[in-house]
Amino acid sequence: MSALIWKELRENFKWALLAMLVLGTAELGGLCMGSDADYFYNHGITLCRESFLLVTTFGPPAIGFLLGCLQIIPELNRDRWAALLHRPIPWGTLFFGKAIAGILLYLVAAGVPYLGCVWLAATPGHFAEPFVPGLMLPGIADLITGLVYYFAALLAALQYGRVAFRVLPLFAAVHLTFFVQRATDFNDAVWAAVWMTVALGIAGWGAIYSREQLRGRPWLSQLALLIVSFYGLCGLTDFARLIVRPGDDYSFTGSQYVLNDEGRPLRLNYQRGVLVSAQETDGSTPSDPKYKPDRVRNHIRYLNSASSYIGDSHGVQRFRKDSHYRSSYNYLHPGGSFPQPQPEQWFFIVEPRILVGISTPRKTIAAILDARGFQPPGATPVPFAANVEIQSMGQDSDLLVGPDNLRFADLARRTVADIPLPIPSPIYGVCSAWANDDVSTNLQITAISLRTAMAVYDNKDQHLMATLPYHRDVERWGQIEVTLNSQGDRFYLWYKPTLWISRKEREGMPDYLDEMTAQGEVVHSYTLPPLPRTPSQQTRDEYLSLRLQSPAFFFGTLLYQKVGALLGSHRLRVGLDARFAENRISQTREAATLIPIFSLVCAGITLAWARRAHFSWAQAATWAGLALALNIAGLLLFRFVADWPRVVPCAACRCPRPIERQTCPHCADHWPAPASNGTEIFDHHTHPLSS
Amino acid sequence: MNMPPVIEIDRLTKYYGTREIVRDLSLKVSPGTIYGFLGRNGMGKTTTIRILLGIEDPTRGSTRVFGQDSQKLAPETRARIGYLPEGHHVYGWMTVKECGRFQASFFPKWNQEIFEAVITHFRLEPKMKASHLSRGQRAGLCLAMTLAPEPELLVLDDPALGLDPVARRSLLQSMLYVTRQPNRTILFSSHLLSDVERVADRIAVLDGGTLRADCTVERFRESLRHYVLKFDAIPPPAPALPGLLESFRTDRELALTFANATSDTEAQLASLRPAGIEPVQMTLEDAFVSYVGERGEKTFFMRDLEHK
Repeated sequence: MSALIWKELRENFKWALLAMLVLGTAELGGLCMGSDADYFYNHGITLCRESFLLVTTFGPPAIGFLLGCLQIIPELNRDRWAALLHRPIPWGTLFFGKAIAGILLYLVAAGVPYLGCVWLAATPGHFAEPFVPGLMLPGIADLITGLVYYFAALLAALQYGRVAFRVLPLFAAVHLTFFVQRATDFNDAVWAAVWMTVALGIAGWGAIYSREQLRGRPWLSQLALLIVSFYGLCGLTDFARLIVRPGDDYSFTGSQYVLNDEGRPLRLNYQRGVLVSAQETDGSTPSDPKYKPDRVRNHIRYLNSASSYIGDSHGVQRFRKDSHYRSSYNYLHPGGSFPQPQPEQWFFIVEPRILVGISTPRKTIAAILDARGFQPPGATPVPFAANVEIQSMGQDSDLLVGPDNLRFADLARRTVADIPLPIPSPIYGVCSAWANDDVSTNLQITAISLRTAMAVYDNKDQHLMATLPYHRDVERWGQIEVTLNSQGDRFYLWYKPTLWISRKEREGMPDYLDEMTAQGEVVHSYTLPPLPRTPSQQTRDEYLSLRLQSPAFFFGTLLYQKVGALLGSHRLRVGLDARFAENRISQTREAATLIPIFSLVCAGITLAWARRAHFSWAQAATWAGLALALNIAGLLLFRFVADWPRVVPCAACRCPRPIERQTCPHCADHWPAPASNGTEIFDHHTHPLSS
Repeated sequence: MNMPPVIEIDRLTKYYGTREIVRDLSLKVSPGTIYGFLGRNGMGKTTTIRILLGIEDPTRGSTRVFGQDSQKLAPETRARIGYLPEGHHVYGWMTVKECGRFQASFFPKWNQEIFEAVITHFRLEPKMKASHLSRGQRAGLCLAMTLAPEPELLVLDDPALGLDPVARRSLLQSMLYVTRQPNRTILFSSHLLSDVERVADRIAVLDGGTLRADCTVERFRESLRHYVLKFDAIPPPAPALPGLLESFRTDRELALTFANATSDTEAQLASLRPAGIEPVQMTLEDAFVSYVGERGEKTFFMRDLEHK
């Protein structure tokens, strides 16, 4: 095998080197592009920067694909391939020899540039942004995705005879890309990529034994090819959807409450994502023309959420983070940064929980803020406790929110001071808010959710502006959003049902809105009855894809979510709740009824079709079983992946007969021996020519 | 002692799509035999060889080499088979020496002396790059790589294809080296009948995917007869006689080629009342061309030219 690996390495090393240079240049460009101008870090930080991830999303897959093709296609010359296969080593060794060399070449071509970028981002002096290992995760996921494309190319190049054999492995890789891009958790993305690589590798190993058909491959490889082909169909569907519906189709139909700039709630009605009307809470049309549907959005106050519950948490986290592993916010986020370039930029590092200040001109660490206070660069940090949250409170200042205390950090002066709470209480949440109705006032506050009241601090000098007592049952309406007017003398608290209450119950509960003075008196109060839930509208492709999905996957996921919810998984319970929410339950029920029916129909068609095409009963039943489990995908796999018997007319009965079978299924006739015409020359052997 | 055959092909049938390439082919090759595998292009020779080596699978029937099913040839069995595919492909970026070293790494039994002897015979330098070799030199290099593992069975697929006479002769000489070893078996397909005549003990002829002849070279040559019948007037059309391969009718002559002609055939020819019957000795090449060429009657009349 070593000779084979050596040969592959020598043959393709130049291409790997070229790819390394091209990818390295592109990644470097992506890493440095716009890094000095994105002061809000909206486009990500170093290795999570959008421009860099754009390169890693497409670069490694392209390299993997080209390397896979380069290793196989030039060898596929009929005689060269025959000479290669005739070498006295197992064909599996031949495949894995190529694959090992390919992986090494891939690591040179895609891994080395990436490591170079990691070194650049991790070494002080290059970027005015700190480096944490978590920033590498999206790139690592993309690198593994590139391997999927490598094995997909090997498989597609090895197989021939059917378009599906070439197309489906590539679309399986496309489907994997969609998954890796959408997955929120790094582990999910990487495991999916690893499993797909393994499936493609096993399918490729089998393809070297029989390039044209399933028959002749090891059973494990046949199974792997079916899995790959199934995901290939999924990828094809993803791709088709992307073409049919390229953007996010926001087609919300229903109503929602908003707060207008006069402090009154309005009801906005949407039809397929289009705002069609605005109403007062009593159902009348607002008299002021500025609340007409085309202008009302410019006259709305936006509220920020200060808490998701008050009191007993029922297992809900105080500060919920639903970050995506490809977002740098998952690993660090700016603290106290502002649009203009600062001499120092501060970042909150999620692990270890510390704040790091980076000197912008020198691009090195200027100071660290940890549980002990400010530390010089190089000091071993002591992380903040897990229940301490960081809330930016304006330029060069952060609020350290503990379980029942507040501390104010002045990042420029390097001081930390306690901020007294108006009442001793646990802290349930914190948020910033500002008056968006008058941009000139620049009034910004920080709202702290306490047990019985909301404490409001001015971001400018951290003085307590107001203590707003709750006038609702916050045990059940503990999801509180807050905003204020531009004069700073009116505060608006919007009470929504607490997050731990089940979705179904929440949908029947009203919202409350209180307009309050700084002294905590309620000026106006509104009860907002629950809005009717319109069943979510499905597009045609959503409708079809829901009903034609695999029953094995549909019921399997349902069972998984149910068991997970019973075992206490919040994530799975949310997923299960979403399926049985009021506006979705009819769809779920309909799908649960129709999916098995469609699957049965597909299985019936497959069975009939297979028998008609001269598959044996066992083969036909196997394919029908697959259609029963996978619905339309099973039927399509049967059509495009199965080894269809080739038929020719029977010489005796003229009916079509499979060429592989010794006897005609209609007349049981054997194949006739070649006819003799008297010109045959044989000596001692007996030959089956018929006279 | 009756030794088991090295190659056994039993009712082999191969389709590409629904096109039949090889039909019901049965053949046995005994140890120590040099078998010429003949046929026109596209008649199924290469396909048969590839099925024999397990590179392709048969549609029906079976093939065995050294008693092992071709579809399950163990690497050890493959090491006993030298295979030279047509086209003489080598990795162009390797030198002659590297080609040898690369090939040697796969074979447990590698005779470097044979390798060097063959490349010297073809005037190849170890440092020459494979991509710079002439077609004949490349063939020599491939042959050296095929012969050096000292295979018990040598399968050559049209080894002389595209070579000039000198290179062909060199190739043949090298190939004959193997035949000097006892019990070495060679199966080679070729179009070049002079080469076949020189080395083959037996031949098998494929025509339209069907085995039409399997015999010694002498038997093949003897089985084909060519008669020239001279007439005083325009000859009659060729009669439909058993074994008639082709006929050629001119203004005064009728030339007929037969397979398996008997005394009955000659008697029936005499019944045409020609002025004379002249049996003509055929070379193997003529015999082969007649055997696998277009069947039926061809004519050539001077009067047709005059009319034009």
